[in-house]
Amino acid sequence: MESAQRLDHNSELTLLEFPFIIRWREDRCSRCGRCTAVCPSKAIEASVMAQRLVNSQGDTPLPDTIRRVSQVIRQVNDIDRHCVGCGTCSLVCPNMAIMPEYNPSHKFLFHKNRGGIPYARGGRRNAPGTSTLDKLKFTRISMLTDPSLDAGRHEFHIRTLLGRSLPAEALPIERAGELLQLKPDGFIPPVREIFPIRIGGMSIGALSPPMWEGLAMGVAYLNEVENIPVVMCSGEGGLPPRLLKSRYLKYFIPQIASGYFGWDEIIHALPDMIEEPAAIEIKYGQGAKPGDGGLLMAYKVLKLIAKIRGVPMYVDLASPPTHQTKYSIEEAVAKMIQSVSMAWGFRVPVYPKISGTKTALAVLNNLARNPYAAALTIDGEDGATGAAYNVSMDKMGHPIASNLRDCYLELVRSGQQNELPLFAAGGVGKEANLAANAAALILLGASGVDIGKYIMQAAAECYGDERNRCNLCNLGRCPRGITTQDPRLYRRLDADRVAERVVDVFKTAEVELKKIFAPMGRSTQLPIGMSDGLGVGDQAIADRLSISYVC
Amino acid sequence: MKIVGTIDGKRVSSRELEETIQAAVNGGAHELEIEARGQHGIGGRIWPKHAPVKIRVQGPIGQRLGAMGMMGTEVVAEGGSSDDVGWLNCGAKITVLGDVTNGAHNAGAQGVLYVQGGGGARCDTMTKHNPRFEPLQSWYFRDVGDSFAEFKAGGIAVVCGVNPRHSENVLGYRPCVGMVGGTVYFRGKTEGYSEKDVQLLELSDQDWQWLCENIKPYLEAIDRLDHLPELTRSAADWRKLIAYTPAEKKERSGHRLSTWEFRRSQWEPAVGKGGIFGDMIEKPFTLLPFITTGRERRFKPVWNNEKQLPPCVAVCPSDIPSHHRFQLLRQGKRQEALDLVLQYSPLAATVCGELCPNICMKACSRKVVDRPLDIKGLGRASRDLTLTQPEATGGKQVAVIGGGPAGLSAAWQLWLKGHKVTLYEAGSRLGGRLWQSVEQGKVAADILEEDLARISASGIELKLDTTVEADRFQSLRREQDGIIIACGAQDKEGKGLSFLGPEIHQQQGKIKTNHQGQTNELQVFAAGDVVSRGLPTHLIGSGRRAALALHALLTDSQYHPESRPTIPYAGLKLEYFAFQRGECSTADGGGTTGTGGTGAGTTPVIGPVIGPIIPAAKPADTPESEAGRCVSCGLCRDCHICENTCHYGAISRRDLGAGEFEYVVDPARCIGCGFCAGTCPCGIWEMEENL
Repeated sequence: MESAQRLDHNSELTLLEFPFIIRWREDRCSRCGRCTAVCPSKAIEASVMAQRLVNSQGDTPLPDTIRRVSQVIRQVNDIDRHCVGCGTCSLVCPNMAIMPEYNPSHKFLFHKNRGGIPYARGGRRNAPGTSTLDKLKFTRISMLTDPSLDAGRHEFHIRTLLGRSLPAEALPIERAGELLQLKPDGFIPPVREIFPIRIGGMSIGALSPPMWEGLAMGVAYLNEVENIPVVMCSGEGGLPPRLLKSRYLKYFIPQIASGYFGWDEIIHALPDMIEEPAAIEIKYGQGAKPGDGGLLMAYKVLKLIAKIRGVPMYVDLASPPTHQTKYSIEEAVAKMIQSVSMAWGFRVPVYPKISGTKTALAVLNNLARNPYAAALTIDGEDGATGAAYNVSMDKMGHPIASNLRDCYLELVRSGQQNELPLFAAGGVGKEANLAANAAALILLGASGVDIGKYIMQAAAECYGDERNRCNLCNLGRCPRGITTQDPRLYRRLDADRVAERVVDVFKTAEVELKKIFAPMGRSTQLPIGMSDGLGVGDQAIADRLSISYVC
Repeated sequence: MKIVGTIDGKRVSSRELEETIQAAVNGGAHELEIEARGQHGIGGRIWPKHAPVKIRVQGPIGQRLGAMGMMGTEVVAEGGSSDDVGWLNCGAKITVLGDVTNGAHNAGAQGVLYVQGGGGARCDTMTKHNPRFEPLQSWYFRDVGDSFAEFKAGGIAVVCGVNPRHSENVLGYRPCVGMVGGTVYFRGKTEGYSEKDVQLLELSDQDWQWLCENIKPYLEAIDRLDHLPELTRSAADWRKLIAYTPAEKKERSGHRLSTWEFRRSQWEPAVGKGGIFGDMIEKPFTLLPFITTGRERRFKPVWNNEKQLPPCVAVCPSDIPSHHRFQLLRQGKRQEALDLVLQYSPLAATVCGELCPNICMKACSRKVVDRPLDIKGLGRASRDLTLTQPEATGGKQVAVIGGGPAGLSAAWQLWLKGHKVTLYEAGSRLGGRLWQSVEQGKVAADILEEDLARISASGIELKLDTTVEADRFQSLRREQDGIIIACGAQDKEGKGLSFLGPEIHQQQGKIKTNHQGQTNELQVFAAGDVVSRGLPTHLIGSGRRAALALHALLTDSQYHPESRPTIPYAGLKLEYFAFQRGECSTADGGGTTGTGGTGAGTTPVIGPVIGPIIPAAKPADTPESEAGRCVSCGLCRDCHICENTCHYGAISRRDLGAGEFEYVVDPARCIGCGFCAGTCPCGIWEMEENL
């Protein structure tokens, strides 16, 4: 028998504990049920409300009791069904009768540990406010001292190099009469000229088929129609054989990570490849959950995912935090880079990606000595994820700005800053300032940046933000159809429209980069490491990044 | 008048020269000859008073010749001149018998510039056209440098392309960027122009006429009239660049290749039909709206009538379905409602009505609203029941040992199943332990006697005063198809169980059974206090379960003891049920509009939804009035709330005949919103994942 007290409020949470509170307007609601039908977390439900009113309408007290039971929309105060604030209810409501409202004084994390299970989620570090990248200003404006360039008029070449550029004296070339020729056994590392903003690794599996294809198609369009050479990393989930065998492969960076998913299919496709990939990324770490592995839940491993990854259906797919057979940095880096380079005859740049860490310099120094290392990508703490424990996302990792800066200055000290490109990721465009963040990182020393969450937000209307809105990516219940394998959800997403928005985003970013670089007098060469162009109104940041303090 | 730019061989400053020129013009001079020594701004800002002012300039000329030149001023440079000739020209006619360098006519608005040679970079940039005046003209005999006509907003530029320095590209690198107005006529080759801003066209008749008319005075001015035939040979030698209008630009920008067209014309031809996942996904990516019906719903409602137990039944040791009895009462079937109890207990008046502590009432959902239903009253009303002979014929022979509550219950159930039942009772009357309650005054003897009389009147063969000894037990085992032992509580030594012998496992005066009452011997069951002590209601339930298990064994069928989950209070919508304020019990309900589903004689009023905070006064109950108060937990009340609530009319009631019905969902209309589940008073509708 259930105790009646169970129904009382003794151990219930008030809605004020919840991060989002549903504002429902009874006077507008038509009780059509569209909101409750779409709510991804079942945070709202139909219920009934009883009211008893005692009216008195005559000239003397003459009570008239009215009892009214009506249908209402009620927010559930079960922490496991908390409103995530996605706002899909308001999207589908015909009468503007419902809307979640952020509750700044919520106590969500005090309660979201039921069953001893730590809170896991998607999204990225929940740290709203101005990031370091957004604090940086471009303070060196060409004013009379040297002619500024006109972003609308001058020709710009917003391109960067992915791959190792050997210094002139190290080039394995020799004179042959009037001509120069490659020395016998000489090796010139492969280099690609690309747009300095790349789409970072998000796997097929983490992303839905239309999302991934939309991104891929947008990238192809940018290259072939707009002449903007954007490249995209596959993430650790393989690539569809149709893409591997198409001419578009050259715009993609297959990723190899500790789960090795999809690599047998990639290797099988090798003889049929008519193009070589842009590069190969070896993932050692991820900014959002440093030192933590990945897990694609069984319910996301449907037929398509199983096929592309080369695994059975409906099994949990773990990517361990480490590559299982690599026990030291020397071994990991040397073995992996060499083996993967061999697959394409050392004609494709191969580089590792690590999560931002205090030990990044050690990795960098190792790479600097490795002739086959094409670059280093560092993914800072604000990198996004499809699924991780909240504690990993919020508290683990290293901010990208100083990590990247340290690495760049280390290269400068050894005179190799033009040799080994650094790519930075993690929080680029966090507050929508994509080009400005990218430019700031470039001025700090990055050759380019990766974006992930930003493109989901901009190209597919991802609801997620750093107030923990939505962030359901880990559960396969993405209301936008971005991070789900449920056809009923992902068929909400129009791949063609995603592609169109990807094109918009990069075209806009290119214009904005020009608008930043033009006043600094740069048009044909990226101002990599041109840190005298940067200023910040924070002395500590200025000191740490070796840039000017301005106020 | 001649003005010399040197005094004693020393160059005068641009300011002094300018002051001299201005003074001369103000003094009435109309024709000036100036020997320049690199002074800037010569010929500008002259406002002729009566006649045009003509200025011939010799010698090295500084920058901005004729800058801010005014109408009525004519400037002729007898050699090449440096940057920004005619800067901000407002009407001067400037002739340069040589080259102009960078920025000629930059920001000019009116006037004429004749150049005998070529132009440098950024000539004719930022030029304007003010409708009050004739458009500006710039004529270049040879070619021009890079970035020609940037941001040109008006005026006419003519590049004759005679003997050009760059014969492949007479307009220089990237001309016409940002050009929004005016015209550029040119003769010769070009390597491109800003296609986003301007269009390349053949000359129209009007263009050609204008050009032919105006080129002659130009060629005369620069002393190149001999080129007239060559330059006016054919309109086909010339082309023009004009800016797109804003409307044209907008139209052109709308023509970008859509990603849909890209997919169709480039992407799918390269990767295959259906896109990169086309070979792996059975269904095409047709878009779905957020609101879906049928198979595309994420959730679907299920009418789970009687899939959950009401709390009263869940706690009743005798499994008596009080909610069914109240439902029959609501349907006006009073006798059926009362008789129903006989399927569960032959001792309803004695036990339910008197002896039982009525755990059912302690659990009753209605108590959350105000107070529990009077289920004891239903027991009390169960004295005059109709004994119906069983239709079923189980056809087996079974013996029940013991005439107490458990034995009576077991024998009763087996008789109801149509078996030939023989009940052995060592004493002289049935009832066993219940008589103690009579002696204690807990129940009137006549009530018990009525219940026992009904049992005696059934077809159960009673053998009173018959002790089952070991021998008889063994012979029963041989003769009977099954035995149920219900011989009551024993002492710890189990002396009273000695007749069983060692074959039937016992421990401390109790017979060991499984949860269905089956002993270690297949066809020997035990029930009641001899298995586990309990209230009379436990004993009745125990006897019933053992009987039904034995019946299943004998008829080779299955017996599933009740195992449905209990509906939680939160699964009900108790808001529909009003707090019943007892003091109103004599009112006739006038003046209120409540519809709390309460019975006659009570006025529905609202109460706290949760928790029995105020003990409600108790009005005079009848089984019928209580039936109205019953929430009908887990059992459809047939109230049509769901049917009315569903916004899309997806729910309908289907009559199955014989008083049976069901509610069904039309998947083509249902969006899976859960309003039916959220508003069902009885917790019947539940939402399921739509797999």
